[in-house]
Amino acid sequence: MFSRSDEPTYHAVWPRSPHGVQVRRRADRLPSLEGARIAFLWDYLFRGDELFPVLEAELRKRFPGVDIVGYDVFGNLHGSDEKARVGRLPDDLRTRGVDAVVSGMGC
Amino acid sequence: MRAAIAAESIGIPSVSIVCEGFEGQALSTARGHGHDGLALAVTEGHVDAMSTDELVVSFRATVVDRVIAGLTVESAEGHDDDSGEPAALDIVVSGSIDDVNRYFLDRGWSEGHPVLPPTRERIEAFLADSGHDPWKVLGVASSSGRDVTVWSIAVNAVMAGCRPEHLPVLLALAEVLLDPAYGAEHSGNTTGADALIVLNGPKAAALGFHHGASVMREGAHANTAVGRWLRLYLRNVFGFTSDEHDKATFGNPARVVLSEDQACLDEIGWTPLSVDLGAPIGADTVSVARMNSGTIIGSVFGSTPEEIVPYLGNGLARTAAWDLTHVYGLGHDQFAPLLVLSPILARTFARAGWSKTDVQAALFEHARIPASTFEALIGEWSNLTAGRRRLVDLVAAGLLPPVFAASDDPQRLVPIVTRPERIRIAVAGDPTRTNAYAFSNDGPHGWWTTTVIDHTPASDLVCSVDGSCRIDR
Repeated sequence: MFSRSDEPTYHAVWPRSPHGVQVRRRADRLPSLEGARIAFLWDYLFRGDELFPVLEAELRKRFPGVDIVGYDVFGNLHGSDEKARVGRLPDDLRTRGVDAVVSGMGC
Repeated sequence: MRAAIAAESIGIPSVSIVCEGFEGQALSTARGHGHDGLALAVTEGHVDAMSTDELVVSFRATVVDRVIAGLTVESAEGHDDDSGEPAALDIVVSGSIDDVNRYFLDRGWSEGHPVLPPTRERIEAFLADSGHDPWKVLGVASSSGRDVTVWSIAVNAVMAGCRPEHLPVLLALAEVLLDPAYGAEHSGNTTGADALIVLNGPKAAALGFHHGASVMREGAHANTAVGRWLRLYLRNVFGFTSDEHDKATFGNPARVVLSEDQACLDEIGWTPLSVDLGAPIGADTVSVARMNSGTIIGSVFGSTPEEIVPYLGNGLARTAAWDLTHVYGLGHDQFAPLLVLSPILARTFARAGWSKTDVQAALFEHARIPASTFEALIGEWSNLTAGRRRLVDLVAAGLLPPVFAASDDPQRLVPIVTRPERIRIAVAGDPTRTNAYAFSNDGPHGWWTTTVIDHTPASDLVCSVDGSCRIDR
């Protein structure tokens, strides 16, 4: 494409929009997983049923005092009622005294 | 990521396991919810393409350590703030049409077609008679966290070539995108569905929307420009680009608006799709759903419903595949395919006294596949329905209706939807041709959502005494 010297000049504005959400820093990390209660949260896809047991076994091997709350407690977090289940998560995690979560599988 | 975000929002540290290639989308999703720098544990490659042994070895060797680090190692990275972004009225580029287009393309602000430069003058002219306050925030985009404003709608409308009279349609579409029931945040999923807008109502023709021949092809200005606007808006405000939220493996090009043939519907006494979805009769509406695949059901032969239903049912069945996981699995009772009938075919049914409900009932009987194929599509072949449960087990658990377990013969034919009314029907296309088109929908990831178009001028815009309504911040 080429421009003619007599072509108008256009002053275009930005097509995007500012962020309406405030950014916050992420939660503090744990000093160790020893003695921590860790919740597994799964979207019931991408072989999480094969991998979360492997993860659990490995974590228990390295941190014998770790406590795991399985994904079945929270159910499918990507199904037809995703919004309702994810909406309940903060209360569910608090009620169960969860210290950290492992969420999967984003593929 | 949304689960991890929920945890982080109450101060519980998270790590998310993502497959290689998904890091960008994961972090963009978190950023859109106001969380920067969330921890990820990335797999090597894609889990579905590995044998079990390969997967377990790789997972133990790499992901476990990454999970532990994600939960225990503090990050040094700071906030990704907006201080570098322009303000709404800032001029981002001045130049010729070529200059503007090159600038926009380089930044991912256009999809590759030439855009009309969104100058302040053009945007003000676009909004001038609408009465809408350009700075009104209609909501926040669930994916990007960016404000959905009347101004940004107008900017992208100018770019797409929309006319001012299209604004009410665009506002209605923005309302759909903001509706949690629609699920706009899924618009970049990997299977790559794209929205289909179905437009109904008495003002469609006056606004220039076309419903006849080539109705799903570019050509009619209103259908094309509004369809293009949706894609541009998803790109620029909802963040669906390949370096942010769009992970479609292939995707689809932007779909033009499908406007139904209201005259035919009136003649045969059928309700428009919008009414089937709950909108009031006679209202101007947009109905939107994300569609995966489509199939032409070509050259439908027959002069009676009984002659044409089997082929139409076959077309619906051929379109349904992995997306049957929206019957049960990823969705639940949310596989609701759309059959678009040309007016001749609709009249064939109506001439025999068939209502839309009659057609749906007949299609429910004919759009069927073997149970073993259904189970393979959502289980063994795609692994999209956890546990690979058989249909008989889902019926026994009360999760599917009994029609899916009339016997336990794997070759028994089962429907592709849970009930007849889940088969949506629209009427459009060349009125002299006997073709139909079947779309499969993406279940809850762009669920059928209908909203009324409000054409009444707004009164939000404050004008000065001299009658001028200059748009200032």
